[in-house]
Amino acid sequence: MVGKGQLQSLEALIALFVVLTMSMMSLASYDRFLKEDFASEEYKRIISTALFKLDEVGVLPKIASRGDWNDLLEILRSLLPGFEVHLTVYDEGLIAVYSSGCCRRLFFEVYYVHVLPFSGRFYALRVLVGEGGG
Amino acid sequence: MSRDLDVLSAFTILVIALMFAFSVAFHISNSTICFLGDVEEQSIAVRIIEQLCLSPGDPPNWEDSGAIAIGLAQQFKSTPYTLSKRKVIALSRMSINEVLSYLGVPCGRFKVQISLESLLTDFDELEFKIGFVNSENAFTTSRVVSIGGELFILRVSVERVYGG
Repeated sequence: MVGKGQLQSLEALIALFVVLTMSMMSLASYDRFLKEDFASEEYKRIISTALFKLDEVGVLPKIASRGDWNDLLEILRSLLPGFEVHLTVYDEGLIAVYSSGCCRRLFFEVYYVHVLPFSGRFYALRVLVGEGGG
Repeated sequence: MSRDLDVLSAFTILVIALMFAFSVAFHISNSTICFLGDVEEQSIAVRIIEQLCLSPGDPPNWEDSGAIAIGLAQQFKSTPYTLSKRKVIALSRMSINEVLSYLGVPCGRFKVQISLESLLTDFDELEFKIGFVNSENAFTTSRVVSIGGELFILRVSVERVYGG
């Protein structure tokens, strides 16, 4: 038999449980917000300026004309040690011509369009960076 | 009797709620302090690497005439992330404290490491490493730069010194 007073305590307990759950969810999203901070913007800048520089000095056109996308993946990995990197290369028809690397927990992604000089052909590069690489 | 039990239960729930509120407040203030420290570390690293890569320094020929502020960009070149070989050599001969004082970074609060490594070839003539950090605790940023037509990775690592 549940008395009136006990029932009110039960209601208070349920209310406390709701408050605890909501607080835990807020804490989790707050921690996530702190994680996706300034650092990810800087990591994106590292990748995009590297692709820009490789394009400017002629390394990217050479890689694209030979199809040695593994070389580009290795360069990107050396820029972000401790992170997992996955590279996908799409041609003009948006068909993936290369896809390699590993990214289990996505941290951020960077897109770059590379136009081959004097041919009008282009490749779209999609770089996925994941947390916790070797 | 049941009313006493109800008051006792309500009081217990209140105590639990207060303890939880204190622990949440403690966690949030700790996370925020830690976050602000991380942001400061990261912004120092970004400031150093951007100044080194994009500024020619003051005066622009500081490697010959003595520096007020240092930068590695070529004096009359507008291409970003193209560095002067002579300035890189001059930087590699400095101590890390000297470099930090020219960059306006407070010594003692941060440990800084600056390194240059060749990217595609074994062009180790210009490679250097000055300063020391524990790479597990440090924030590291990098840029691909070209020096005399060769590609290099310039890395800057910054680690906070606790109590510094």
